[in-house]
Amino acid sequence: MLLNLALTTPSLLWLLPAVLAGMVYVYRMRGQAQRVLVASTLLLSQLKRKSNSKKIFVPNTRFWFELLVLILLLLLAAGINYVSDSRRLIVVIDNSLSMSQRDGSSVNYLKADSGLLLNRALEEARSHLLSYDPSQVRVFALAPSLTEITEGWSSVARAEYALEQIQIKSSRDDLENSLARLVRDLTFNNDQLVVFTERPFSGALDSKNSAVIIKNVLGQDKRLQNIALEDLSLSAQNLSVTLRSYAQNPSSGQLQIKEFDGKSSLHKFNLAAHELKTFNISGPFSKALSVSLLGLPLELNSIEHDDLGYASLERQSAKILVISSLSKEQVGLGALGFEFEFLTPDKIGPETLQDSDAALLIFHRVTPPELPKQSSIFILPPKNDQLFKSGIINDRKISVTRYKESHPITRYLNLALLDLNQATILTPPSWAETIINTDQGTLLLAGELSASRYSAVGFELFPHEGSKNPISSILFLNLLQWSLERGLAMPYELAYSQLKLAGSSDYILDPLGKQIRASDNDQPFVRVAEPGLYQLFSASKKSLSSSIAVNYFDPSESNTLTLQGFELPKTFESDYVRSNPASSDKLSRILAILLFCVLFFEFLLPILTPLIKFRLSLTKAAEVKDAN
Amino acid sequence: MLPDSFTSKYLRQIELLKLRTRRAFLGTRQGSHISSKRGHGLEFSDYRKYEPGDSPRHIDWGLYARSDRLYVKTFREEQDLSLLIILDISASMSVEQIKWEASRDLALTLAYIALMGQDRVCLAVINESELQHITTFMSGAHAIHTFAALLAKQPKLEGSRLKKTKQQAGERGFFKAVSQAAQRLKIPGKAILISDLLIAELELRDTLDWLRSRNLEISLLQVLTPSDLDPASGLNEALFIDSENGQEIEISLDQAARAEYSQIFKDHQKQIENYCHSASISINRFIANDSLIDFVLSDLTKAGLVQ
Repeated sequence: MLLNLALTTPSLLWLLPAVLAGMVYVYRMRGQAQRVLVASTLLLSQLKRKSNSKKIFVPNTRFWFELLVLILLLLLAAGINYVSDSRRLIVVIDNSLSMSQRDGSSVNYLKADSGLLLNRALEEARSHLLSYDPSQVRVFALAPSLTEITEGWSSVARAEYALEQIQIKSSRDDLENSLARLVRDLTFNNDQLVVFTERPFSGALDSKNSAVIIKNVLGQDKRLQNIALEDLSLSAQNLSVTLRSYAQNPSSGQLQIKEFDGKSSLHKFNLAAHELKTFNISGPFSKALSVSLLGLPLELNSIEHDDLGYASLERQSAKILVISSLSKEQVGLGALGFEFEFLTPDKIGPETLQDSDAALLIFHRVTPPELPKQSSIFILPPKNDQLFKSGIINDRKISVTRYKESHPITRYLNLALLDLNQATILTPPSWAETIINTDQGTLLLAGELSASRYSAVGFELFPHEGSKNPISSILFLNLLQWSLERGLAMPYELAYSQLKLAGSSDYILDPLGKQIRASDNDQPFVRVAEPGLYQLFSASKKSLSSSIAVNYFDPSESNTLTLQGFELPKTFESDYVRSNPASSDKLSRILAILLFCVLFFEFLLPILTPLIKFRLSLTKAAEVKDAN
Repeated sequence: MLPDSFTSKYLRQIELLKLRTRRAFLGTRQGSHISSKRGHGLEFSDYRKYEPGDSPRHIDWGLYARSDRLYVKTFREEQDLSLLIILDISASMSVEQIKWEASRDLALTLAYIALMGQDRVCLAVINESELQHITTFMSGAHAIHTFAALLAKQPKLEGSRLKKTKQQAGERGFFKAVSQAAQRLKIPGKAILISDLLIAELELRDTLDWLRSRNLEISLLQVLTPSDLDPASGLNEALFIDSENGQEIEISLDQAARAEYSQIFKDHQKQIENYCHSASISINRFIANDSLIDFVLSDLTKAGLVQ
């Protein structure tokens, strides 16, 4: 039991000798003896002179009680806690697209290591499972979002099986947020969290604190090269292919175009180092096609997954419902090429919004009582609305203090130029994050909830003036693109976006021919995760009505040269410390009760001692009487 | 008002007693003690030649018949005795109630005996280094009530008294206070000092010598308590605090130490007794929880202080 106790601040135990010495000193100085008032010490002082001047310190009962109290207080101050014998391990595998890098330079044939970083991560995870020998394990994958592969705490065997299930997902990892969530599960001192990733760790871990281990499967300073397909644009007569080189050297290869009807063609390309280049290929093209990069050496192209793209001419048209007191002409959205439907605020109700087949709702200077099911953009919510509890600031000039550069909504924007004299400050709900922050508060927020995307802007974006007002125009287009998960002229959907089905019986066939139907909660939307050509089946037409191309193009994942570093969440320390006292609280309570009991007995001691002595003397007298 | 212990029975018992002195002292008025003054009395003193004016009643006619000379008989006059009771009420005497009460009762008893014998009683109450009260009564049993009122309250131990330093304690306060009391006595007589005598032997000797120089017949009544004989009984370790000067002494009191203390106490007593013996000073020890009447009737009678 004692071996299972640990101290939060063990250095405080060094005070123990000092406490003991202090107690002895105080007792010697003050005298542990009972104070007795006598008529005169004349004769006693003679006795003192005659007896030995150095008497042996013999602590009395009260001394031991007081020492025990001080030790208990010291242990409480040192944060004594119970350490569980069980060793638990949380394994986090980064399975995002960037982990599909293949490191050809260090292929280990003995370990059947193909150089794929994910395989290397899984192999290292298995080795760590064997070396750490935990009693319980949880396995998580980072992409497309933090997902537990095991079902709660599992055995090592189950964890090994779970590791085999992890595959590369065409998505971005969310390492910081995932770690912030997971460290809360570290309950005991022996718990350990191991992250296997290729992303460089930019923080510093305390060598004494082995609760979190970051294992870089690529090597902290090692970088691979890559060529990525970044964008596709397709019309009946032209195909534009955008390629980007993340290589240090020039590269050349071939573009293979495979059309839906079976036609195939090859086109040579050359790319300089770090070059972003668009290749235009003349058609005619059929309704859907795929583009792939061929002939690139492994040392220049470490990721295969971003070498393939899909395009389709049969895009789903996105209908956007604008709820505004302004007319279509006043708003000025006609030039954007989307199908806009306008409604005045007095005509909307809960049923109107629910029945609408619009993929996106734009609320202008009005907000519904609750969030609609569809993705929505809220422009200038009225003062004190229920959703954002906004407050309007009219007079003061507002300056942007911070904004998320990496967020798609702020792409291509220089918000330092944003000059606002009138704005609405928003209060971010729990599901939203602040994208643009000002000295007054949040100006733009965005978030995802129940498969829909919502954003709110605290300043006026209408009328849409195009190039006359570039900041608000670009911001509005970014908002549309992020909300709809699609570009304005892109012949494809982005992975993990939602597709709308016309009817409840409609479904989508994925590239492998598997049917995907909308779940009851998400009706009429379905989410397409992996890149490929999907077929939309219309129940009314009883045929495959159109093909949908889905791509995952993400420069941050394809860019192997400048891997984005990460740090442990700032709340790590407090979370970890907070999670531990669960055991120490209980122990502290026991110690506190013990402390109280000791103090109580110390209080009773002077009362009980004479009674006990009296009882003993009675017993002794009785014994003597019996003996006589 | 007399203390509760002074019951009518107790008073009846002690009013039969009379103070005794080994020497004759001059009194101020007629009393029951044979004085050194020659005059009228019952006890024959001497013969002297008849002188004109002498009362013919005092002529020893038998001697005249044998010697044919006229001689008159002289007698020792019976006069009162001047009694000085010095009661020590210092902190050491009032630290324990039984000690204080025993001292007080002893002083009142002796005063009552003296007053009943038509003696002149002077009660001096000394408190450490000063004479606190002195009251003199010629005679009369009623005066005992005044003495009782004077000693009605037990002196309180004051904190400041405990904080006195050793230097202050060494100021020979006992000597000063006793000498102040004795100076107030105009006529030589008997002095009874009631104290625990827990003072340095040298100081006590000086005090008693000073009293002797005043032509006083001295009696010492040492009042002690059991704790003076066996301090902190039942404790193995104690921090003793002197009630008079606040001096603290921490001593382990095991069996050997207690035996050692007992020996030191005996030596101290022996020194005092030896001195008293050489100086013809009677000394009697009274343990506070013993019976006072037994002590008065037995010990003091044996010692010749009362009869």
